[in-house]
Amino acid sequence: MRIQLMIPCLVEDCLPEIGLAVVSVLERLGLAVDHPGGQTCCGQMAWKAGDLGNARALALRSLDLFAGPGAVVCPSGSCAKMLRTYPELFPPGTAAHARAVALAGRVFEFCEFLAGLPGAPDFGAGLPARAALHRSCQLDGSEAPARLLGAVRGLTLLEPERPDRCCGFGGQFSLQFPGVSASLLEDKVRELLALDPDLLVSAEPSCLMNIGGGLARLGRPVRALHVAQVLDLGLTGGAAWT
Amino acid sequence: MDLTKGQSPRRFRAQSEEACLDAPLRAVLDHATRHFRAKRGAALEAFADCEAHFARARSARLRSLSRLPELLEELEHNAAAAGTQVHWAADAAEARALVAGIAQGCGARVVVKGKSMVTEEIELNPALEAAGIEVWETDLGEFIVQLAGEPPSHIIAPAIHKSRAEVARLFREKLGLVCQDGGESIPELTLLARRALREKFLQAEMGVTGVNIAVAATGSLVLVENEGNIRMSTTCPPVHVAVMSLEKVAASLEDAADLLRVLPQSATGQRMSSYVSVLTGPRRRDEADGPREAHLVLLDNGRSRVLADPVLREILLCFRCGACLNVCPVYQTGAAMPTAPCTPGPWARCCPPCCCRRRTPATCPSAAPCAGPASAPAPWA
Repeated sequence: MRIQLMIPCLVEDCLPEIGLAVVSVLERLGLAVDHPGGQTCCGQMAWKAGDLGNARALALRSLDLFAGPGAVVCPSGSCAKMLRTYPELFPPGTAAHARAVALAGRVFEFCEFLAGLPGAPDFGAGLPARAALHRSCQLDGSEAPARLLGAVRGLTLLEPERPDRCCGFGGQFSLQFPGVSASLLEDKVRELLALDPDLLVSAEPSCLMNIGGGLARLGRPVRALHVAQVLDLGLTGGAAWT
Repeated sequence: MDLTKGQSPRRFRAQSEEACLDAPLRAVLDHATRHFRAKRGAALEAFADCEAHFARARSARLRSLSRLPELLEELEHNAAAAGTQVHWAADAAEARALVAGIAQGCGARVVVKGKSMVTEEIELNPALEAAGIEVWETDLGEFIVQLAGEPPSHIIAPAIHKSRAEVARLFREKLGLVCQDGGESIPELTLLARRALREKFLQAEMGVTGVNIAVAATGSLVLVENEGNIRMSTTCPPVHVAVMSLEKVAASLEDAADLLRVLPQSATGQRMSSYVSVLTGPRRRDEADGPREAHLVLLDNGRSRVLADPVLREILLCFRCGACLNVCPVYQTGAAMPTAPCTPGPWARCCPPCCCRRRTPATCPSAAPCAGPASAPAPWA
C-alpha cells in the first residue's frame, strides 16, 4: 500500500526525528511512503486566529499537494483534524468543497492509521521502559496510542491521575498567555513525574515539545517521545533510547 | 480571591497571568469544576436516550432562530394578552432606563433580584442604585458576590471562587451576622443568608429576574432555579420585571419542555431543577399571590446583528448551561477571573464584540487554548 505523508511544521522545524521515525515504522510495516514536496502549514494557525482568507489559501494548497490517491497520514492529531476541517472553509456546492470532503475522508492521524492495519496493535515491538502517556486533547479521546503502546513488549504504560488535563500549549495561546500556559504545564508535569517514568509519550508533537521543555527545565532525565519513535525504537532493537 | 480591584480590559493579560499564580483560587476552582463535571457525567450516563433528547432540544432552538422576529411578535402579543407589559430595548442603556423607569413609577425603594446574566450584561444594579434604590441579589451565590462587590465568576455558580471562610467573613463584616455555633458550616451560613433575605423579599416593591425560556404561543416565561429565591422575587413584590435576551424565545410549550428536559442535566447534573416557574401575566383576580404588575423587557443589545451573520448565528443556539466552563483548562487556572465576563465560554468568542464591548476585553476570548475541550460539553457542539 502506498500512502502520502503529511509533515506538520512543528515536526519539520523543531522535531524532525519524529518524521524520520514515522517513515521508518511505516516502511518496516511494508508501506510505500510518498512525501509530496512543497508542504507548508496546513492553515490551522490562520483558521484559529479567525483569518479565513489565509486559512483557505493554505487549504487549497494542501488540496493540490495531496490530490493523489490513497491515505494521507499525519503524525499529529491537531493537523489531521485541520485537514478534516477543510470542508467548513468552503461553501457547499463549490469544487473546492467537494475536493475538501474527498480529502477529509482519506486523512488519518498516525496512530489511528496504524491501529487499523492488519496485525494491529502488535507489530512485534519491544522496549523495556516505564512510559507515561499524555493523551492530547487534539486526539479527541482516541484509544489508538494506548492500544499501540500497550502491545509493546516490556513497556509499562502509565496514565496520570487526570488524563484529561491540558498541557497548556494550545498553539498561539502559549504565546499570548505564557504565564497561564506555564501554570497549566506545571500541573501537568507534576502529575506526570509522580508516575516516575523513563519516557513521556504522546501522539501530539506540540504537546511533546511543550511538556518536554517543562521536564528539561526541571532537569529531569525523562525523554519526550512520539508514539512513532517508541515503535521505531521497539522495532529496531530498542536499547538505543537510554 | 478579591475581584474588586482595578478590573480593566486593558490589563486583562497581566491580571490573568497574575491570577493563575493564586494557588488557593486554583484549588477552589479545580475542586468545584471537578464536582460539576462528575455530576453532569453521572447524570448523562443515567439519562436514557440522552442524545435523542439533546437533538430535540437543538431542534427547538433551531426553530426559534429560524423564525425569531415573528416568534418575538407572537410572544409580545400573547404576553400582552395575559396582562404583561412588554417593552423593547435596543441596547443596554435603553434597558437600564426602562427598568429604572418602572422602578421609579412604582415608587420602589427596595428591589430584589433573581440570578440573571442579562442584568449583569446591561449593568443594571449600578443604574438602579444611582437612582437611590436599594438592590439585593437573592441567589445565595449572587448575594455573596454582591456583598464582596464583585461580579459573578461562573454563570451557574456565581461565587464559585469564594471559600466558606471568605463567606463567613463577608457575612460578619458586611451584615454583622455570625453563625449561632460560631463556625463556618455551609448550612449555618445559608441560614444566615436566608434570614437576611426574607426581610428584603417582604420589603421589596419590585422584583427583577432574567428569563430562561419565553413561550411565544402562550406568552409565558419559564424560570429555572434551585433555591426558591426566583419564585419569591416574582411573587412577593407587587411588581415583577423580567429582562430577557431576544434569543430565549421558544415557539411552543412542547419546545420549552424539550429544552427543560436537558438544561438542568447539562448545567448541574439534575434531572430537573428544584423549582421551575411558568409565569403567564400578573396576578389574576381569583389568585392568592403573584405580582400586581408584570413587565417583560426584550433586549437586543447586538443580538440581531449576530443573528444576521451566517457564521456567528450558531452561537445563539447556546442555552447557557455553563458546562463549557467546567471543562475549560484556562477557566480552571483562575486566569479568566479578573474579567469575570458576563458572557464566558464559547459565547465570549462571538458575542461580546457585538453585545457587551465594555465589559469583555478583546483578548479574553483568545484566553482558551483550543476549541476542542471547550466545545465538547455543549449539547449540540
